[in-house]
Amino acid sequence: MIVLAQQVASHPLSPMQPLLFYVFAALTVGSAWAIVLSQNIIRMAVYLLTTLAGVAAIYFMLNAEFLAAIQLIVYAGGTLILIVFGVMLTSKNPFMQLVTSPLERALGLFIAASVAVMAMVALLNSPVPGGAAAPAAPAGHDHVARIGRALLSDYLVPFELAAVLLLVVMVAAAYMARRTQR
Amino acid sequence: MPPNTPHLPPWETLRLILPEITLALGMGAVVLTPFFGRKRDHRSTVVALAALFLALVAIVNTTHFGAATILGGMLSVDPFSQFFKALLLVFTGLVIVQWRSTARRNPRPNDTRMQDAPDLLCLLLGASLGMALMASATNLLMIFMATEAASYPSYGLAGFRKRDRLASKGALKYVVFGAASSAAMVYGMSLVYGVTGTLSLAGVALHIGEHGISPLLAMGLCGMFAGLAFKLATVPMHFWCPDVFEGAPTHVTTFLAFASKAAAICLLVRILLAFSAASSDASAADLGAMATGFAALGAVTATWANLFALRQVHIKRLLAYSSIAHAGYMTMTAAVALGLPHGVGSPNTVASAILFYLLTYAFMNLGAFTVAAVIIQRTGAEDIRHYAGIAQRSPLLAGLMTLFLLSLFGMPGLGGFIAKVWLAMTLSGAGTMGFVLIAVLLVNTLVSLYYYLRPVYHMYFTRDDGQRPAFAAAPASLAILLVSALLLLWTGLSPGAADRMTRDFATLAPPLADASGTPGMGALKDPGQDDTNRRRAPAAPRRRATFR
Repeated sequence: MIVLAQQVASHPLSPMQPLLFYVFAALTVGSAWAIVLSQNIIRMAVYLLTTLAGVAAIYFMLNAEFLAAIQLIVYAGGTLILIVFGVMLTSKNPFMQLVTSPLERALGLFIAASVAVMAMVALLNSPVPGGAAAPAAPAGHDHVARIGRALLSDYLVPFELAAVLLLVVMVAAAYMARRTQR
Repeated sequence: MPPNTPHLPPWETLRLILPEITLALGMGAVVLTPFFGRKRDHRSTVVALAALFLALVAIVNTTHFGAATILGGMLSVDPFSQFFKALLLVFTGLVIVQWRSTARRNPRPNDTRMQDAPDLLCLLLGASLGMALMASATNLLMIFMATEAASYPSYGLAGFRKRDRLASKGALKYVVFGAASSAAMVYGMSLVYGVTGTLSLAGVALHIGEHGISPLLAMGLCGMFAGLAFKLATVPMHFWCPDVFEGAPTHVTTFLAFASKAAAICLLVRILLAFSAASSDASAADLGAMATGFAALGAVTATWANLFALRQVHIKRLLAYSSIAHAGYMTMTAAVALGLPHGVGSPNTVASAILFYLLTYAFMNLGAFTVAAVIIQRTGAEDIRHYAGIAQRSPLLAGLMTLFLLSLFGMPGLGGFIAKVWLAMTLSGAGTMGFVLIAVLLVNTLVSLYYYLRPVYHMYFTRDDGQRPAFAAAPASLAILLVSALLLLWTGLSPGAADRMTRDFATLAPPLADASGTPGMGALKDPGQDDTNRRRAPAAPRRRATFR
């Protein structure tokens, strides 16, 4: 499906493009709703998979192949598996039902609705620079090379900081998981 | 060499970020110490303190440089950031000493155990590294990464007593709130990037100066500042703070109470000064609205925290609410940096008032928490109602605790008073809004007297059986306490020297990498001559500044 999307995206005038966009958008939004409404945590994880895959497909259609691949590998591949493992290893009952009280539900709905309305109003009242068109893909497929170059030149410090951050997180995680000897 | 040169020679650039590199290397060294020999706790402590000291030397080595924005606009290294970093490193070192000297002889199951020293110190150094970078970051990506680098170790530190239910509750709250606020921050930044097309703070400021703040950009900025508000624990996002402070070990609480908020306020000042420097007629109204927003945020935070602090009986929770209130005062002052409607605070005044506040707040906070830690160590009392009789059992500690609490309140003669006066003077430059804020500051200060005096009341005036033995602090704790007390008395009784120092260091690198070269702005005044109302001087001469 994603390969198809990529092929379609390379022909910008194809009538399939808007259609595909709406399909993937519906997939993304629909499964996002399903995550919120579902009460079974494993089901939520599966719906999350389809949401993330839908977003990845939209990235493909925007000519951001690298981002889409990362989205699939890191989120759909890595994070999701971790979530499922985490649920299975920590919860006594992986099929636990999560029940929310009506008050929490109403409060959450209110906050979500107000944020959504604010976002819509803000979006409709702001000039979006560059128009709505997807940025044209530069000649040749050198995204990855350019990203690599940027990471090791302009963005070297944040990149290195990420490495240090991973070390700290590993130390903290190892400490938390270590058995306490008395 | 002109400051703000985009392309310094590599050696100069490396020297400017040497403090951060030293901290990162120190982290690695601390983690490696258990592999060499059996006394892992002593060695890792020595290694950590050595790393902090070397980083401090590296900072002093940069102070003659003036102000520079380096690494393609990622970081600004300027006297403002270096002052904060030096303060942070000294503070972190003292926290480590405090931890060693207040450890119980016979540790309880929940205490930080000595064999966990490498983990604790690695996390402390990692958090310091993130906070040091927060004070320098001038690029949205760098701001985000630095904030995360300061947050993750803090989550680990908050849950360091992993067998303790209270600590787990606090740490979990911290992680969940932190994840949500990070998400808001990065989403907001993506919107800002989408609207302005740049990640550099200078570019964003320039865009705001030219086009004002569109609703979409306003949403992005709100999200971005929500992440900072979480670190500052301002009101809608302060719920983690008391729980974390209560559950975490006292040394961690001491560290978080000052360091995480100070780093966030430095970053906030830098962002707001960048925005105000690029302001124009097109954006004045929008920035005024933003300033009002921050002023309201700070005022609500301070008031809320002081009202909630009134009924706290746990000393660490009480000091947690107190730290939220202080963050509120500083946020109010940072708002002035944007130029409130009826007048523009000169940027330097705001930065120097904040630096002075941080200097005194660091030490009164350290002092109060150290006394609390010693009392916990010797008597186990965390509830202030159990402080009965402490004035008889240890008159010196009771006196010092009184001094620190009165300084937190703002008693004339102590550093906390001068710091608050400086805040008020900065606020007074902001017209009507400034006077409203001064009134808020005054009322809040009076309200806070009640809860700062409660521990004092219990120490001196509540009777106990009079049978329990006297106790004293360990020599190292006592040294920390005396140094803090002397510093507060010095800044309180003769604030001149400290004031001159903070004014000297209140220079920020010009936020605009391209536009700051315009003549006329740089040569307003010689920073060395006029003390009272200096403007930010992009062409700051290379000054021989030392840490007095």
